[in-house]
Amino acid sequence: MKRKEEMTWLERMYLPEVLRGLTVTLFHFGRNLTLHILHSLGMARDTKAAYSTQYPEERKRYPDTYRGSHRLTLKEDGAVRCTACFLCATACPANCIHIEAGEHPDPNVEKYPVRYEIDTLRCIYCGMCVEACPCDAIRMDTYVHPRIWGFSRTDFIEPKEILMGRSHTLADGGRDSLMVQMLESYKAGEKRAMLGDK
Amino acid sequence: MAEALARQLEDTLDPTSEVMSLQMGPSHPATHGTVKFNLKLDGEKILDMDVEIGYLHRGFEKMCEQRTWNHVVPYTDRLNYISPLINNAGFALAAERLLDIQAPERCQYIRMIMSEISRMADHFTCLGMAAAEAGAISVAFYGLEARETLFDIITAVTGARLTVSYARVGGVTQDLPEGFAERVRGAFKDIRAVMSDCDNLLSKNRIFIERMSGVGVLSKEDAISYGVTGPLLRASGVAYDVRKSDPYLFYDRVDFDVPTGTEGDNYDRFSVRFEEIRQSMRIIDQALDQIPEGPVRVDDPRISLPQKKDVYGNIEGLMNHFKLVIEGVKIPPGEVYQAVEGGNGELGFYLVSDGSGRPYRVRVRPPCFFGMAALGQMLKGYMISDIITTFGMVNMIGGECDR
Amino acid sequence: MIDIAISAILTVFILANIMNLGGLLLWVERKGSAILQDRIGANRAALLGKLPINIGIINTLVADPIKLFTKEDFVPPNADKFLHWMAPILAMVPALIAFIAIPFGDILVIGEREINLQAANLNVGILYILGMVSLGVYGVVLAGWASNSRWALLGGIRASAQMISYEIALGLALIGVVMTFGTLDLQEIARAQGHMIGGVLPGWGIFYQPVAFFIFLTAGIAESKRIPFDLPEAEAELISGYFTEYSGAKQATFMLVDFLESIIVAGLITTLFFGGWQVPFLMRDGLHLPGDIFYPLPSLLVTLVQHGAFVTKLAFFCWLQIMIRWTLPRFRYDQLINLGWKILLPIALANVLVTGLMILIFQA
Repeated sequence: MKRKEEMTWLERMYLPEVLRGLTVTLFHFGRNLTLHILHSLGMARDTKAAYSTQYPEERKRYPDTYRGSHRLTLKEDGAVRCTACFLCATACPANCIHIEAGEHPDPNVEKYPVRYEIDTLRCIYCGMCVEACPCDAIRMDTYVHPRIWGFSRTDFIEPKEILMGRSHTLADGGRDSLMVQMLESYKAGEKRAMLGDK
Repeated sequence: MAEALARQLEDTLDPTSEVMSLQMGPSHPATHGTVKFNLKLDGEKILDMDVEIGYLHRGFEKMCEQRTWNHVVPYTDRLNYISPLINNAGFALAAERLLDIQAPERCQYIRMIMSEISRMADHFTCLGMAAAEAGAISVAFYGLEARETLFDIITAVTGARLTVSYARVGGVTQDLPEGFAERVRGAFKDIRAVMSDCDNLLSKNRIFIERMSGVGVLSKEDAISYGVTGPLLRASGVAYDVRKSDPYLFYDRVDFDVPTGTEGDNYDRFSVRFEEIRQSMRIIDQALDQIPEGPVRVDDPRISLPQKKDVYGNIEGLMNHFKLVIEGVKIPPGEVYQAVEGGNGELGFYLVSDGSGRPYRVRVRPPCFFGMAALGQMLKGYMISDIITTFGMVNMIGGECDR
Repeated sequence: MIDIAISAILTVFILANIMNLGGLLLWVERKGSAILQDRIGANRAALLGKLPINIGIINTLVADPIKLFTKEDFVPPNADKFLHWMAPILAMVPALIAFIAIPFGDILVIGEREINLQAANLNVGILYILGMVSLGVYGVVLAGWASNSRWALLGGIRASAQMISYEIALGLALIGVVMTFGTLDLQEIARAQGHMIGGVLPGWGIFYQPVAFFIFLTAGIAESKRIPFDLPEAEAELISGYFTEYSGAKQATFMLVDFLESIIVAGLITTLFFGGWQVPFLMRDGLHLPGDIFYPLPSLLVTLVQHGAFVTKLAFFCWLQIMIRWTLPRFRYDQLINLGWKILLPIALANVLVTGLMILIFQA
């Protein structure tokens, strides 16, 4: 490999290389500034002026494989599909799934989870529960990232109702619905925090 | 030892000058990855340097012993958290070697491509941060752009940016998404633009050259005796690359060069890493041409989970699934050392199995641990500012070094 | 009596403006660097809900100062409390008052009275500014010493060595300019640049003293302690250098001083090398275009245009310093001293020599 270190006398002068560096940064500056100005005039909207994303106003579209928050899938009648077999809890490397199984009143259904909680503070979103589920009862295809703030630890424990609710929302509102819902809950939380309401 | 040396140095110095001891870190802007340097300074000059690591120790190796083999995979994500896919591949390869199986060809190619993408991300982070600490913050941001492009690809493949957990013993979790090759090649265009920007900003700039060249020199002999590997060793002029010397996956089927330096200083390290990004792109290009169709997990009911349709559809599949999830992969007794070329050098997994379905012992050879051992030697006699560039080029990743 | 009042008004005008410009530079630095680095930068804070186009003014000029000025003012234990309190003031005052010698316009005619647009018409203006800039080092060194922190101490020592070394190159670069124009009065220097070389090229200092310009720019950036010369505060090395142990308003003061110093450097560059308030072809009575074309203009308009030209040039050089700051890596301590003593100083001396020879040749 050739070392570029040997400098010509021009490069030893500092200035030409400083100017070369400046052309790079000035190019970025000029391009982005022009785009920013055009954007504010409502033009060239599809060329991005910055690499970063203005979350939450704009969001990256999560890919299909994205491992988002969990959801419990539902049967046709809307009941939880989970049979409380504990495989997900066994497969979980973080021990974050807590299940309490119970006898279902309907004799055709053997077992169902009375409680099904995921402690998202422990969860590492590795997807092993999804892989382990033998009846397609838990999935991570919600296209929403984990909730990142709350007022107490219990805010981060997701019970069965929330996990099933995600399936409902997703079925009703489509791919983006859960993300929209979460942002709304953040806004509500922001208001709560500003008003000092616990 | 260090104190005795410092005292001895103190005696030989001018009586009016006093040795200043300074503790750099663990919460210092430059000691990212949490590390502490105990410095003895004469003005700005380093008389003695004592590197204190271990702030990020989590007991990775002990934790692994409590887990099934597949449960170790998420832990390996958190070793070198910038290139988790290499760690994943390394661990899976080691376990597969214990099992004496070969993952399917497509899976091996996927691991290879993803490893190289990870390596590029690793190098971009390292170079960008080193430049930022030398003052050129814009370079870091351009580097982060390139890294983010790569992370987007990684997210599309694995489902997560950093905590990928992509490997399983005997395969990978899922196949590549559609249009992967085009996407990667498209991303390379952006990355080449970023690289030319960085090149223009730094490579010929005299300020940068003077900061890097002749600083933190590690001779060939010292580098070998410290056990340093990866870009650090190659910068010292030893063309040792696990991908070449002990090819794993299909690195013997692709054509690439191992860049080496001549002086063993920071500028060589910088150039080696820069060139390795180009070589990684070359490898990926060839691998994308060669990759065959096929399964991504071994077809062995004792190792891979059965197909979902078997699990939902028939009792044998369901039983197999239950057994495998609860007990984990049973790996026959034995021990193995498998090295892969990580972002910072030879990342080795030494696994011992007693056949119980859990590792009996896991030991990781973290590449930057050895770089950190050599750091004190590299920096003695240099100045405070040189710590920053040298430490940046050693690229210590706390998760990997301290485990 | 009226003269004193006018002086007072001009001084207040200058002080208020450069303080504001310092604040604006903070905005330019943060938002400009964001644009340069393909980021968006500060844009979240807004008064009374969201603005239609949020360009980060509220963030950088309202929210951040409020945050900084209401923070706890922490003095480390065993620090010298008096000096610790004194240091930011010692750094701030010279930076603020140095600017009064820089002319920001020619002459404002109000009725019969002609007002020289310069807060203090000093016939030793350059020396005065150099003196003030040199005083700035006390604040920095004392901050480093009083903090009782080794990082701050290292920063303070670096600052003192750096500022003293670069002042020499700075001064020698100025000697060339002074020799060319034959005066130390900045207003006179600005006026002397009003002619045209060969009828097309403005007679600005840079065309007489190109080498001095580069030396002055380099040494000036070093004086204002910005990348590539920001060793005293190099955040990757010394955390924040001499103001590591400062917080709240005092830290904000140090940050402001950095900007004020770069404004002074920009002001001096403008005045000495780029004609100050001069606009090519614009004389006191109107526009003199080549080919003896003459448009008479009202005096007030000319003064305003000239003042605008000065501000534009000043802003450009402030911006240029910020661009350089975001482009280059920083020097190492010994390389910096080498550059100052072994490269800039000989070149500056040679420049003085060559200037002297040229003057002799052209006068003979």
